[in-house]
Amino acid sequence: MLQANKSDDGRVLTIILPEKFDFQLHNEFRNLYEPEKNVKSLVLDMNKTSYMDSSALGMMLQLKEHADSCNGKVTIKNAKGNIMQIIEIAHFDKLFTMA
Amino acid sequence: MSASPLPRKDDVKDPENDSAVKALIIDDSKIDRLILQKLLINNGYDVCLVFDGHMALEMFEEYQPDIVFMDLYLPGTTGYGLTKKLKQLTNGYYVPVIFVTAATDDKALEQCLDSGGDDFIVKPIKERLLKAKVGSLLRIKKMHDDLLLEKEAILKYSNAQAKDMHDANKIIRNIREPLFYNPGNIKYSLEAQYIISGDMLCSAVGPSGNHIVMVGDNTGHGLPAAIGSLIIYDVFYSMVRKGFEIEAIIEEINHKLFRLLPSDRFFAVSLIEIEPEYEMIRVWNAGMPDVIVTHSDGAIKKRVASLHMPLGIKNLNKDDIEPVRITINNSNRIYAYSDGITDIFNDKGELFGEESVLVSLRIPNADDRFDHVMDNANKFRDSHTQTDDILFVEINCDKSAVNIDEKVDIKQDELSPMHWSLNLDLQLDAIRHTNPVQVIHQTISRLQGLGNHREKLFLILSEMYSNAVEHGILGLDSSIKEEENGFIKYYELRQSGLEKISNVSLSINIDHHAENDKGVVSIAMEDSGDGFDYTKVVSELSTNNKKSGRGVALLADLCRKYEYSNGGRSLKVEYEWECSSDSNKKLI
Repeated sequence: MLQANKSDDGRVLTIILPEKFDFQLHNEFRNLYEPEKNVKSLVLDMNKTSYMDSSALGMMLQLKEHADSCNGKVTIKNAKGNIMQIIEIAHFDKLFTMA
Repeated sequence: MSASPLPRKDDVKDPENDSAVKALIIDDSKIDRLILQKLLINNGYDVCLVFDGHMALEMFEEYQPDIVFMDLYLPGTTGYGLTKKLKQLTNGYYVPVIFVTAATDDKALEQCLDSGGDDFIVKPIKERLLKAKVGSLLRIKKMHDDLLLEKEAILKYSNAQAKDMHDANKIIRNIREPLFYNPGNIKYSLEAQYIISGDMLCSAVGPSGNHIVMVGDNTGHGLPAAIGSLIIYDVFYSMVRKGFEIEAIIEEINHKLFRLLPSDRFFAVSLIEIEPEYEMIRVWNAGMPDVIVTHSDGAIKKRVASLHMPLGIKNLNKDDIEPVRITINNSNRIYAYSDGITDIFNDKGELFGEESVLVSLRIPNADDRFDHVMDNANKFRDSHTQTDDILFVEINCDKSAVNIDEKVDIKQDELSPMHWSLNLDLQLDAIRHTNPVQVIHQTISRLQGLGNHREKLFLILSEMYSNAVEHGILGLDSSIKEEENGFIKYYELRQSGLEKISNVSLSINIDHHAENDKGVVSIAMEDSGDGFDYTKVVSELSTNNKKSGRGVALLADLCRKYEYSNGGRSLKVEYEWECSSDSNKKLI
């Protein structure tokens, strides 16, 4: 259900999130980024996403922990409407780079 | 006859590796029995022979075969009838039955399968065909029995899990309920009875009478959320009781959760602190939906949006925590909730949303408002099953709705009066950055016990301390509080005043001794400020009913003696207390 693509130089991993970003995706999500030890930039593309719950926020924190451990950063792209609101309520816009 | 109905897992034979497959042969013809027996033994099977239905049933239970060879015609019964009986004795395990028959007509063979038989083999038996058929049936048997064992293991696990959750839920409730302070002005709903909810509601009153309500949402459900909640309960209740302010409580909860929880777990929370006089509240919101303060008609007076990310994510200190101050009156109500209520979906997949909550609040009769919101939410949900917990809380700001006798039962030690004293000198930076009242109060409580006098002593200490700092050192005029939003203005002035001052100090001296059976605490505080005309304050005491100056009136009320000196810079009071197991629990 999750899609991801890596830049040619292998430094940017973009994960394209589906409409519903919740706990169901937990393992799949983690399996996508965990083997990537050399990625410097992890991008979460939320263009299609219209629902997410608090465990999704937790998954984002785990992703950040991974990125921190390889000196990378996490960017959130195309968050809008409801999703942007959730991110703002949680003040995650101060924790992640927003694009 | 011993009958162990369930084969253990290691009894289920692997046809590939294990030679000791047990075959039960049921045949009344001696020749046929021997032919089949020889074939099976040659192929490494363990064989048991019986001649009639009665013995077959007996040996089926005792021998527990992996496979059965059944003759069609037996003395007193048929293979069909016997097969049905045997199949009922398998307890869900798969024991294949192969009919051994001379008949070749379709109807007889069809009946073999209809009666519960799994296959048939026609006499004379061809060895290769027999081996193939038995091998295939045993493979099916293994698959079936493995599945059954797994299903049983899962069921057992799931039952144990449900029992654990039920017990854990009960423990959490036993911890939560006796601590929860509700003097009659809180209505709340906290659903999800049998799955431990991530939603949390705590309420406690501090020694100075400030009432703190915490509405939170712990990520996840079940045991991890429950363990997190235990940490939070512990910090919240012990700190409120010791008189800490919400900033310190937030800092401590965050510190504990950040250190203890895995990175994807956090705690969204709103804290509401109602000052003892019900004139001002302080609200801090981290990751929760807006906290709403309504007017008498349910219209929004003030909303406090999330000010910070939830707790447990990163380190924070007191400077990150700036609660919002709101002046309240007796017609206001405060509403706080988790996203459980806004995230209710209806049949069409639409969200209930914050807007629906706010619209539902707008009814004139404030006493019906809570039920009105809950009704609307439940109607909206319709046939949909609940996906999250609903935590919805209303606090009535009308002080007359508060039953001040309501107390949570806490064991309080009392020690007979002893003689001791305590000195504390605070210099500028200490005055700026600390509030020594909790520390002094705790020290005294530990030292002397004091039982139910603790709360009054806390009041005296904090009134004296704020008098010394606000009036003695900063020279603030408390009549500012009379103005509109005066409370807030006053606290802002206090804050900026503390940043500007220089070269001040404050000394606190506490002495305790016994007088007859009673204990007497003398507290003296002396500041380095300009002093003030205390004669005026003292003469006004008898007529005081303003918002300001009540501190001194309170001291006069509680203490057997109070005395200004040194041009108003020094105030000394004496408080008398008595050891008693049944002392008055009222807060003044």
